[in-house]
Parts: sequence; structure tokens; C-alpha cells
Amino acid sequence: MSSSSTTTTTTRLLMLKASDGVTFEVEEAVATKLGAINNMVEEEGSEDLICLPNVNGKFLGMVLEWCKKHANNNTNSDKGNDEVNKWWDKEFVMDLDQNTLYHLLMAADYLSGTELVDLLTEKVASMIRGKKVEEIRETFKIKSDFLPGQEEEIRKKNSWAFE
Amino acid sequence: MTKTSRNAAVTTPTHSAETIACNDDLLDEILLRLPIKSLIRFKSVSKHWLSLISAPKFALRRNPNPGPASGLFLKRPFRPEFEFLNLDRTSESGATLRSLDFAAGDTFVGVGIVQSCNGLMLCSAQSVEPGDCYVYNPTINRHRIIPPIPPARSGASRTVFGLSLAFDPSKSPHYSVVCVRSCDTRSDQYQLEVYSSETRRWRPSGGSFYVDSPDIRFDRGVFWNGSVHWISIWGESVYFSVEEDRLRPMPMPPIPDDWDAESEYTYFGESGGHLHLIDHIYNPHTPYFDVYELEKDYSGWLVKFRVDFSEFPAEAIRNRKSQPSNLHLHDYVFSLLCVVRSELDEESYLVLQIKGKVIRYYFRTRTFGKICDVEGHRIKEPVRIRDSVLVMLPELPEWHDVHQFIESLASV
Repeated sequence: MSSSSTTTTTTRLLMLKASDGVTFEVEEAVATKLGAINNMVEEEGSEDLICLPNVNGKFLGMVLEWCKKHANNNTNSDKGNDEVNKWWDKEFVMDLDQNTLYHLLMAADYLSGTELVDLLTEKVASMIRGKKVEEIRETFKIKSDFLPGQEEEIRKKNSWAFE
Repeated sequence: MTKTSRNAAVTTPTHSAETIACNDDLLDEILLRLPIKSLIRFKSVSKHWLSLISAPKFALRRNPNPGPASGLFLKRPFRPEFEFLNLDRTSESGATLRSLDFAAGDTFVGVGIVQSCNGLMLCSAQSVEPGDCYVYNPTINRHRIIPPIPPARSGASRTVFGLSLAFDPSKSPHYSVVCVRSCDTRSDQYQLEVYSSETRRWRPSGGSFYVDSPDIRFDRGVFWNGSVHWISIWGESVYFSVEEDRLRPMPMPPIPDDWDAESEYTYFGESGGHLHLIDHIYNPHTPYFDVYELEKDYSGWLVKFRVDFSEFPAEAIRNRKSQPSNLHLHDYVFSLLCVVRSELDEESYLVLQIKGKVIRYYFRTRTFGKICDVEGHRIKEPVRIRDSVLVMLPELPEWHDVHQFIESLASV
């Protein structure tokens, strides 16, 4: 495989272009942590620019930042990596506002970043687990489509979950 | 990573959460990570959420391997109501079951739990004649009536000796009910019938068979390792592999020479993929007893844990009249309720009723934790019981009236 890198390492750089035209130059080993990019690289095998029309630059940047951290951590000594990754993941999701979180999740899902999707869905779950039904509807902009009485029936049958 | 351009405006669409909520794959992933209690509550968000959470596939993914018991249902003979003992310290768990009211009014004694199996329960009317049989999921509060076994063509009367539930959600979303009944043609033989929730039908399994055992308890079957197990002290113990449709003899620990006719296995049950047996209780010459575990290949029983009452605080468990020297198990007042296994041995424990309380005893660390107080015979808070009924716990409740509550979304 040829390398576009000018250094002596075999690291190859990929150019990723987001929906809003923002481009990122990323090491292949980092970008291929994303299943979608890995597939494109394997299928096309070229060094061309990879266009990602469904991901906006802000979120692509964040996804790549996450990939890079994990790639770096994993090249270091094997022991303690899980701990470092866990600590870093915690930091990564700690201060995300809801809107960013959901956009990031969609970006990660589109790019098939399985581990990142796991991390973000876990975060969403931790945010909604204690919520009331009405709060869930509010968060996800859902309108109840139950017929009159149906909802009461479900609640009555499962009253312990509402205590 | 090099950012080569960051000039383009970052536009943020407004309803990102809405988009997630429309993406079934992502929504499924989020819902899978929620506690059962939240899921049950969120069924009433919308028809869409209800259908996702109720889907059998979702239930299978959510509980691929049944967790340890998060509570116990306790019931006294001739009482219709159940007590619920919460074992989950995070208090996330719970259940609606107080009485099996779907069949209330059928008989004086109502409906009882025959067996709890990986989240589902087999229930039956406790009348003199074998009554209706139900499979019930207490987590989602749903039940299904199992149709009666088709009558014999010859018109011969049939005695049902026991019903057992076989359910392993890690293998299949379907369950089976195994019935041991009398053979139509030979009174000294048994016949197995198996009901499958997949076909919704009963079918006879194999020919009639004989078990050389005067005391085998076909009404106390325990499901483990894909098979239903029935034990006997004085005769042959057997197990029936539902998948292979075969009955086989089961090894048992040797009976000590000094056992008397009163001897009985005190505890026989499954937890966390392990089959446990506790014996030696009724003819003890030691202050300890052993918890046996059966090897997966049925090669034999090994002593998994030892519980030594001489290590317990004497005032909590010893009979006042007992002499402090040469203590036997007779000298202790206790009742075994359940063995609860976790993935880690360090977190596995025994639920034990002693004077005034129900406690958990961690086998490995030999430490205790109080679960609740029992005043006289009454369980005090935090066990939730019906206010109007004084629920009694016998000093030594019969073990078949203690059933594990395991959270499950499995449909019946």
C-alpha cells in the first residue's frame, strides 16, 4: 500500500469532508475506527477525499476527536488502557448538552462508530431513566396517540413502575 | 488530526431528539440500557414506544441471561395473598403481585405459585382437583391460561403428580410446561406430557416409565441447564431434558449412615445458572451445613459453600435453651429462604430468616446484611404488604412457598 505521508512511518492520511464543507485530515488508523469509513476505504482503496454529506463539521470533529483519543490510548501500553478510555469517555460525555448529545449520536450512528454509539446511548439512557412519562414526551417531542382510557389501562396494570 | 478549514457556519437543526425518537434502531439501543422499572413506565409514552418495549425480540435482547432474584414472593399455606421481600438494594425493582387476582374467586384457597423460572411463574389453582394452570409474568403483570391436557381416549382417569415450567430466555423466547401424570394403562407407571408455548399444544413425551422412588416430588420440579429436575431422598432422582425430550437418572450426594427417617432435603433450587441443594439439616451433628452445587455434566455434587452458625452472633440465632458447648444445628432458630448467586462468588448470598429479621449472609466474606425486620410473625417495613391483612410468616416457612422474583419482559 502506498503512503501519502512524508514521514518515515507508514501512517496514511485521509481527508474527510463534512456536509458544511469543513474538512479534516485524519490518520487512516484513526478514521477506520468508524465502520462507515473503513468500508469506504476498503471498497475504494483510494486516497481521495471522502465526502460525508450527512454529518456536519462540528459533530464530525467531535466524533474524530473521540476516535483519535481511543486510537492513541490503544497504542500505548496495554495495561490500564481500559481505565484511561473509561475515564476519558466519562469526561467526553459529561458536559454535553442534550442537543449536542443527540446530534453526536446521529453522527456516530451514521458513521457506524459502534463503541461511540454505545457510549452515547448509555448517556442518553442515564439522562432519561428516572423521568416521568410526560417529561419523555416533552424531550422527544412525542404526542400521546393512545385512545381515551388506553393509557390509564396500561398505567393501572403496571402501577408499581409509577410509584 | 488537522483541521484544515473551520470557516463554514455550523448549522444545528432544531429537533435532534425528535429524529432520534424516529430512529427505531437508536431508540432500541437507548431503551435496552434502561432499568425494567423505567421501561414498564415508558410503555405509556406512545403506541410506538409501547410496541418497541413489548416486542418479543426486545425482551430477548434486554434479558438475554436472567439476572439474579431481585425479590422473593412468600406465601403461607391457605392464605391467598403474597408478601414481597425486596432484595434489590437500589430499590429499582418491584412487582405488582400481591395476589393472583386473575383467578380470584375460583376456590377458597385461590391460586398459588407452583414454580418460578427465569422471570416467569407457573401458577395453579390450589383445589383438591388439579385446576387451571397459568403462566404469569409478574414484571409486566400478564398471564396466560394453559389449556388442560387432552383426556385419555380410553376414558381412564388421570392423576397429575406435578407440573413444571421450563424457560430459558438465553436459548428461546418460548417456554414449556412439563406434566407428570399417571399412565392410562399401568397404574405403577408415569407418563410425561409437554406443552409448548410455540405450538400452544400438549404432546405426550416418550412412553410410560417407572421410577423406583417412594418419595419423589414431581410437584417440586426445578428447572436448570435445559432440564426439569425432581429429587428424592430414599429412591431414584430423575431429570427431563426438554430439548432432547429425554428422561435420565440424576446423581445425588450420598446419604449419611446416621440419617433418620425424618431427614429431608431442606433446600433445592436454581440461581444464576447453578443448581443448589442443602441437606443434613434434620440430623445434624455439627453447627454448620453445606450448600451443594451440581456439576453441569451431572458428574456429581460439589460443596460450594459452607455456612457455620458458630460464627454467627449467638444472641441472633441460638436457641435460648441450648447449651453453649457441643452445638448442633438443632440449637439454632433459622429458616432458609433462598440461595442467590451472582456472577461473583463474593456477591452470592443466602437469604435467611432468624429471630426478628430476615438477613442476607454472604458466603465468601461471611458478612451479614439486614433485609428487613420481622416483628413477631409479621414482616415490618420495608417489605410492602397489604395494610389490611396481617400476614404471617411461619417460624420455619415451607420452602416451596418461597419463590424468586426475577425481572423479565418475556411475553407469556
